[in-house]
Amino acid sequence: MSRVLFDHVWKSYASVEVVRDLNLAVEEGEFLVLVGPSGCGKSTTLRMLAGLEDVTRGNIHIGDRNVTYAEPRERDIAMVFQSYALYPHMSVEENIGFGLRNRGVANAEIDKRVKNVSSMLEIGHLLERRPRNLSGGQRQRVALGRAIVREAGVFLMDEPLSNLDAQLRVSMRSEIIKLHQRIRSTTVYVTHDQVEALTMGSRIAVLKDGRLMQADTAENLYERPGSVFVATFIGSPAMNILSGTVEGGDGGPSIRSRQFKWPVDPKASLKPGTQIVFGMRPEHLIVGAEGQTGNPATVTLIESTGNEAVVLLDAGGDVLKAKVPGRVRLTVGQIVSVSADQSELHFFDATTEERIRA
Amino acid sequence: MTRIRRKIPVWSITLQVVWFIIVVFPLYWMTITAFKERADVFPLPTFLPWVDFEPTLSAFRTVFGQYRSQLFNALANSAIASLVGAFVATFAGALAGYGLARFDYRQFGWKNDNMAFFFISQRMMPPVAVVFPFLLMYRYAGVLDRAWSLGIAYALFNLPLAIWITRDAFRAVPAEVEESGLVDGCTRLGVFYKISLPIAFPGLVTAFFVSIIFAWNEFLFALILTFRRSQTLPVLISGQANELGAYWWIMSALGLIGIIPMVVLGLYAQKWLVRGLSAGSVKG
Repeated sequence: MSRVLFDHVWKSYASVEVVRDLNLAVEEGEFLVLVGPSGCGKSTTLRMLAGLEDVTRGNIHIGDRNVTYAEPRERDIAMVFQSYALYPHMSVEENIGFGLRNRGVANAEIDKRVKNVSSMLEIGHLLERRPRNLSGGQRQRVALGRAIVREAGVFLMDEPLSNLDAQLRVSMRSEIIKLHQRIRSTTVYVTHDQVEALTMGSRIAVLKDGRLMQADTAENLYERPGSVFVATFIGSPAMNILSGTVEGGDGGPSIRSRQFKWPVDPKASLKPGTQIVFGMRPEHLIVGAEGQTGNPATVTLIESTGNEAVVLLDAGGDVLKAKVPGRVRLTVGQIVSVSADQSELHFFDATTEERIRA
Repeated sequence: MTRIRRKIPVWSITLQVVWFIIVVFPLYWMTITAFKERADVFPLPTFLPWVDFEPTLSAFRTVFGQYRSQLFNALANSAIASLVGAFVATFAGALAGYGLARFDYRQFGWKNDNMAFFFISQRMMPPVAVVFPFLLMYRYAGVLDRAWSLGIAYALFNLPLAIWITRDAFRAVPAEVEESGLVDGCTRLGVFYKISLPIAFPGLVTAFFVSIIFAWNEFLFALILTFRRSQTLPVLISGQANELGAYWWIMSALGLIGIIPMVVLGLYAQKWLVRGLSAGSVKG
């Protein structure tokens, strides 16, 4: 088990900067998820850590070693690839034992460890098979086993679940988490799926255009997103983002956005007259009958999942999404009034789009 | 899966029959001629044994009797030249093919595809154009009339195709599988030998097979670069047509004997020539 440290790491191909000044520490035994839209540099970051890509500038440390220029085999890492990357000409047993054999581990020891890992992953009965005779889920387990058996300092996973069907993905997700709780190895996990990121990571690093936007626990990312990007990237459906001007007044401070007024908590101490971007999560919007307190809006679409529904509202040109629990007694075209839970509003600077710390 | 039954049109069958005859007739003619005697070769034939002539082993008796030492010498020379030609071409071709498949080169403004095309263009050159320079070089180096040196010339000729075939074979090896090997403790060369080579093996067998067939049948270089000592089988066969006339029955018997090793090799290599070993390595 080792600590991982990215120290001012840059990566560029020709003139394109893929990773920009990444500073990030992964603590011993931590499960860190790198998440972001495609092209954000998350896979490149992982591959630099694995030694499969050169680092343009900066340093990478694993444990107390600077591994920036070390070969992959010298880094004490194990990796699960998106495509599994099993060795097609070897049996499952040989696949799992390959890394140990390369490192000169004694045969008896290899046997023992392969048996252990394969029974842990419930693939003990498949040891003689070739990868081409395995299902997608079984291949996934073999790939996991091949990484686990090494007992390496750091575990790297590059979108390991993205080739599985939805059901299998959910079950493998919890299996990987359970596995991590058991072996407690430092893990860096790459995904583009925010649900995967939130449910699996002890900490989640959100990347965008090669920059680290925020690295925090799922709760903090959700409750205190540091930027508009993180606010909209984390959570489904995405946070509603509006812009407006802060106004004072007798009834307390509020934000005027188009013709609507959104009252805000005085404790937020926003300066009247400033331009501001603010957001509210769909589940914090309150949809009431026409004429109640709030802003008038028209229901344009209802997406019901049975236990709750996402309601699309047209509020004077702004599209708002509201999550409504239980059975919905709304119809498309109906006029409703919409207001927001004041304590759940998020404020961002209008130019930098960064969170305004209250 | 249901198979679609389709009627094959008459013109297609006709064409196939004509093509079949064109391909098979020479082989058939050679086979029956090998079982003829001198007197049976020339009269107007119906090409049917027991109608035209009584099959006899006399040609083979001559070949294994009077021609014995020449025949075995020629077989040995052909074998050495072909094996050297095929092994060197496959080995060097695999290294080059791997490089072209896996790394991005940029030398003197040339990229991988330019290089690959340059290699294959060597094969477009007519051999006649280079055989005399070869003769001069070989004489200067003192390696004329040696089976192994003829094999080196074959290797040079086979290399373009070998590079081309192995490049394709290595391209089919997923990059992630190699990277996985790197993470699993292999060096670059270790990955090549332990992972890429076994996966691309059918491609290498194909390259070897194509090379050895070319070398086994090659005539021009063998004729010019060898004299008596290192004469190969094709040269020996063609030598049976000389100023005294053509000994068709002897040529046919030698030809039949010459086909056998390649047929055996082909049957043995068949299981490797079947592609698809890399299936199951990636994706679900």
